[in-house]
Amino acid sequence: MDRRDFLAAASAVSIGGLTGAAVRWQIDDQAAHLRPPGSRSERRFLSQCIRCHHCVTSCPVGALVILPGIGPGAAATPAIDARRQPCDLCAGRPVMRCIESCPTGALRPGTTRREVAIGVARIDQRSCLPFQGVACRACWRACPFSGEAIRYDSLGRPYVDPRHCVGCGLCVHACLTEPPSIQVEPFASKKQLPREAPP
Amino acid sequence: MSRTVSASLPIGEAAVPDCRHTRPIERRFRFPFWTWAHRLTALALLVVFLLEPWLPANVFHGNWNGAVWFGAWTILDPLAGLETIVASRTVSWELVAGMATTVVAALLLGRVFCGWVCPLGLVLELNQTVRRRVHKTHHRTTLDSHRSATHRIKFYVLAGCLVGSAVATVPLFASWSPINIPFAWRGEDRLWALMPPAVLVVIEWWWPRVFCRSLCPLGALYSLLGRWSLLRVRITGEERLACRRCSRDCPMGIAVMEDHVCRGASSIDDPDCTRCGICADRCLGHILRLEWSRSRS
Repeated sequence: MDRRDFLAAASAVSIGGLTGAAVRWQIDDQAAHLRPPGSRSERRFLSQCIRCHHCVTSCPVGALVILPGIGPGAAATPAIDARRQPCDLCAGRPVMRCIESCPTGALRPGTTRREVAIGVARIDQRSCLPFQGVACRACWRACPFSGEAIRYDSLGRPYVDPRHCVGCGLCVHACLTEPPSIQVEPFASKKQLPREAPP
Repeated sequence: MSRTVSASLPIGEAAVPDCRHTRPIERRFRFPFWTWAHRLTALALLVVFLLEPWLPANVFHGNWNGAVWFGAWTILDPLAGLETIVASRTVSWELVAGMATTVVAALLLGRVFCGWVCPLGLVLELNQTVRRRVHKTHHRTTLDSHRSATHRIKFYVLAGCLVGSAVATVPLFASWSPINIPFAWRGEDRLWALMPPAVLVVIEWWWPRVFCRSLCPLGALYSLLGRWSLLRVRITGEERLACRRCSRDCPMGIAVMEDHVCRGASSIDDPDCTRCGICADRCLGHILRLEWSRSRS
């Protein structure tokens, strides 16, 4: 390799590295989306997703949508809009289809329904009906882990136990208020993953 | 410094001393089988990928980063797969299995993806053909093309993609691939997805096939994998008519006659050769054959 080759290769590597750094800096600022079950955190998911859309095609309820645009961030990756169509964790089917279809392991194979960790629901107490004195059990009825992930206190007001909530969004879809009083906060990074007991 | 040969050079001893006319050239019509074969194959795949949203999932689904045929056979783009490996610092069995098809095909068949499969390759080759008819000249053939600087740039782009993906922790070419964007774009104004190929078509009016020859990192990866391939254009027989149609018409700018035929090589071993077979179709002496052979010479 002569000097010109070396310079060309070094330039390419430097440009690649700088582009990579710029991309990383930009995507770190972006908000996390709600990802298909089997994903761990936004950061990890974006690094493994090959943007092939097999999960989107295989979802039997059409919960996964392809985010619009071009780019190395969230564009062309699958996400769940829980209010439009939540993930029902393939209830009644032997396996979760998206996890089965992912060819890169971005949705970790072998994830069970209870191990799913795509986000944690959070209740907005300003609009949630029981907090205004109106009895409502819509989220509790929709939750696949009701009694564990969503519980009611002695005054009949719901609260989410992050140890059990998987982030499927069925509660968001069922909430009676508009905008919904319960939203799923996706995990942006690995640090948010371990579930802690509620304060 | 690369040397170029333009189409206006005289044929005969002045240009290539080892090739000479030994018998009259017979100009009979021969059906250009390989030309039609590789273009129709690429066209068929292009149509299938375009119709993907309407095809049943158990027949075909996916895009050029990853596709599943008949619900069972997963084929992943090897560059996108490599980028996810370096971006995430993990490998999974599914990923390796998905990449196996393209990697093994490249090892055995060479850079056939570019000639027989790639939708962008088809569009750019047709663009090139139209340009030749309009301009009535051919682009320059680069002697010793596999060593020339312009053809080497794509390997640096490949290195940049891999390093960039590792630093960014996201796959870069998988997100920006001009091959995949028209098929994977979702959202409003879907016509914007045609911008990357359209820009390349315009640019290539002045630099024919520059993307495939000089820039495409996926082509660079296939080129590296295909160095030992057993499917090649073999050079048979003793007659060399020096008509230069092979060099003139090679879409990748390989100097087939100057670098291979006239040097007594038994096959075209240029890593950029996409096995399109155009040279074999055009050869007036019928000495070029696209063939599979166990021997690597």
